[in-house]
Amino acid sequence: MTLRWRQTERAALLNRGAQTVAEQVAWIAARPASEHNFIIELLATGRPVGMLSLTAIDLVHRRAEPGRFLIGEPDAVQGVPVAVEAMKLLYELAFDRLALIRVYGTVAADNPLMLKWQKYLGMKEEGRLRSHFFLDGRFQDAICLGLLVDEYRAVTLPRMRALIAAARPAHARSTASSSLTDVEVCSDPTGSGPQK
Amino acid sequence: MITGREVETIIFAALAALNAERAPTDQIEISTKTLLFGTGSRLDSLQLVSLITDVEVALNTEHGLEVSLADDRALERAASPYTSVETLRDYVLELTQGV
Repeated sequence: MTLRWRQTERAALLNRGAQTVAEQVAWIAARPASEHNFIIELLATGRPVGMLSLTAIDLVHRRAEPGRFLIGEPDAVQGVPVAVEAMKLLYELAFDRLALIRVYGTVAADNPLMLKWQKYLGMKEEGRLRSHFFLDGRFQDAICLGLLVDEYRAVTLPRMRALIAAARPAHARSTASSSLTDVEVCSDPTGSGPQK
Repeated sequence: MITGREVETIIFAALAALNAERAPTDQIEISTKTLLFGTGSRLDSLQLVSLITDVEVALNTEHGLEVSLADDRALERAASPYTSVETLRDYVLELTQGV
């Protein structure tokens, strides 16, 4: 399933992952226990629709890297704030449960949707690594992004809550900010190749 | 003061930017009736955020208006401001009154 997701057009700007089921299985087996790899599921049906991870967790410096973020079933999430809810759950894991003070990562410069998304949800641009990725048949810069816990609480959370609530019917919106009902995140038994 | 027609033009441009990233067979209709987010819409979360970002930037650069379309005010509304082009236009006009 995740291998199929990695081979969609949407995944073209992610790092190259496994090309075969055998490679995928080997990659999954090699994941360290310190990583958190998740499948995003629709609560209503249990249908898997995407994945995301929290890796490079450093409890000394209290930082980690969200990544491997991919919606693999785009038709299933039209009009539903699945990506926002999934990212909100991941940030709750990072900042509330693990007490981290910073998350960071890189996005390909030619991935404007993801850059807009990350920046709108609070990430700050911290630098640019020139010709850092060879993706989609060409070298691309990597944009370095970071989010501090104070920025998460001041900017990211209110925007996430507004986006989640606004996508729900009026009768269901009063609980939207405190109860995620559309997606759940569970341990990933079928992860994916490395990506950001 | 910005007009409804000007806001529609900004939203249409944001939708056109999204269409530029979509396949020719998967284009979003651009009209005031176009559903943006919620039941029956064709945008996902990333595309909605892209649209909101483009509208906020255009309001600022083209009209000097500082507007946040995703904050507690949006959360508190009975009806979602992101339902359609019309509801988003009306929400922008509401936020920019007296700005």
